[in-house]
Amino acid sequence: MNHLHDLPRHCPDCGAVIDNESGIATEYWQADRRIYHVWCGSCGWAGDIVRVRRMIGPDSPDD
Amino acid sequence: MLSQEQNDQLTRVGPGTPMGELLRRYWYPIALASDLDGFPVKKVRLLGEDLALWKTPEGGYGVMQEKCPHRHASMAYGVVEPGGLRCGYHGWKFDTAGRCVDQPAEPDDSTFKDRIEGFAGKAQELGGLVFVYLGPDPAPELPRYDGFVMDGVRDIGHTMLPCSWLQIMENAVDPHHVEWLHGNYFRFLGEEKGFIAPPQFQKRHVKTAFDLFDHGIVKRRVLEGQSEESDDWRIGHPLVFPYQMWVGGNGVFQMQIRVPIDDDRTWFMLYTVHRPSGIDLPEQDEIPSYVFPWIDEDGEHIVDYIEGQDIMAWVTQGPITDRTAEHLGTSDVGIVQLRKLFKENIAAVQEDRDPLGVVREPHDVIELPIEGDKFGAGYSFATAWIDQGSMRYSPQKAFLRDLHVQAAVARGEQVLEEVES
Repeated sequence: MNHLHDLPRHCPDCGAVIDNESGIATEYWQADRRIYHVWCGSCGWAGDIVRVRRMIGPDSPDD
Repeated sequence: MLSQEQNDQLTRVGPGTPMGELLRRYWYPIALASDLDGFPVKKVRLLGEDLALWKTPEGGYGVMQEKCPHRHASMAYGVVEPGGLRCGYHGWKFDTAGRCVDQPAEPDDSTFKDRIEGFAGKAQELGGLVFVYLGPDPAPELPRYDGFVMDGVRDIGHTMLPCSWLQIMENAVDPHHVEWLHGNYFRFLGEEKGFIAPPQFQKRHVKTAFDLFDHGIVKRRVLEGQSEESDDWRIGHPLVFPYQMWVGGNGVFQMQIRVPIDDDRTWFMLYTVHRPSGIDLPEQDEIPSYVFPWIDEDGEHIVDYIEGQDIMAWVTQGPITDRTAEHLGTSDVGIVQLRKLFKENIAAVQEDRDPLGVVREPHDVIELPIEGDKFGAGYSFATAWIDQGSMRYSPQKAFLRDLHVQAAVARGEQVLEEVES
């Protein structure tokens, strides 16, 4: 149930509330990445929101 | 994982609920036509509503609230007459639109009946099934999906399941379960119990895809050893929104129907048409139907056939699975997409738009995509399905099996078994 505490509550595009009345956020996992697939019933935006604890960039080869 | 509120909304189907209002925009089979040939009226339940369904002497069908508007006796114990259904208790009579047309115990000059109306849906027969619509007027067309109208040898197996229709529909966008439940688990059972599980279902999935179309979601897969040129990827087969799945291949065509009786009971029906190429198909005077078992005498699931395995997976999740405690992975993205699709269409209904798959145009047939060669298995896909699926309980099992073997011989395929007739 602790998965619920950071369930996205607002659309990242229009800011509308994502709740039972409008939209849905479904959690799924990709390896250790916890992803919320979100659909906003107000503006129709759909996409994934991922919590990131550590940013890792590409390691460019030396010139 | 979903919130409890979202899970409740997606699984409640009664009148006035958001999902219930969406589901009421569609027609549902609620009886076999043959059920009403023997006795013309019966009690049925759909979307949490008790109803009386009857066959009119004129050959049509009516469906109305089960409780008589007079004093609530069951209309399922009514008298079928020309022009309506008469309550067995005091004789109030209702036409197929729900209008009260007779109150025999009231004075002749009474206008009381003109002020009485019961709730009535609409009912039509198609392909040997009686379909019912409980939503608002104007009713959409009853979709004539090809399985219900195509020529072929029909077979109807059905059973009532104590779980939500939604967890059955989520299985329809979960291709990976095939290689595990019908592949790996089936093989394990065979090794333990001394039978050979069908190898056609044991191939690993390389990739899957889900594409929205006018009637639902087309599901595609590439299996180990296949390319993107295979029918399983190029054509695929659909979840027919919101409660059916069209599946088959190699001369078998099957509509898997999951009728939401109420929140936690589902009438599961396998409506199959056998149409192998290469032979003339026999005429069928009536469609054989049967209830297939899924629990043995000890109360354990019967899991040595394909649909019995599915039923085990659906029913053991509980009457309504707790989606606040699930853990979806990337192989579950079809399920994520389906939930979103339900929410989008709940919103469409709330905005007075027709939801996905509602058909307004009169038509002869709606053709749905389906693989020709399933899993690259040839005719053995059909015989394995008959031998080790719910059709093993069909009263015409031997005949169906022979039909596919004879057709394979006629097509010049290599057949490894004797043809019985």
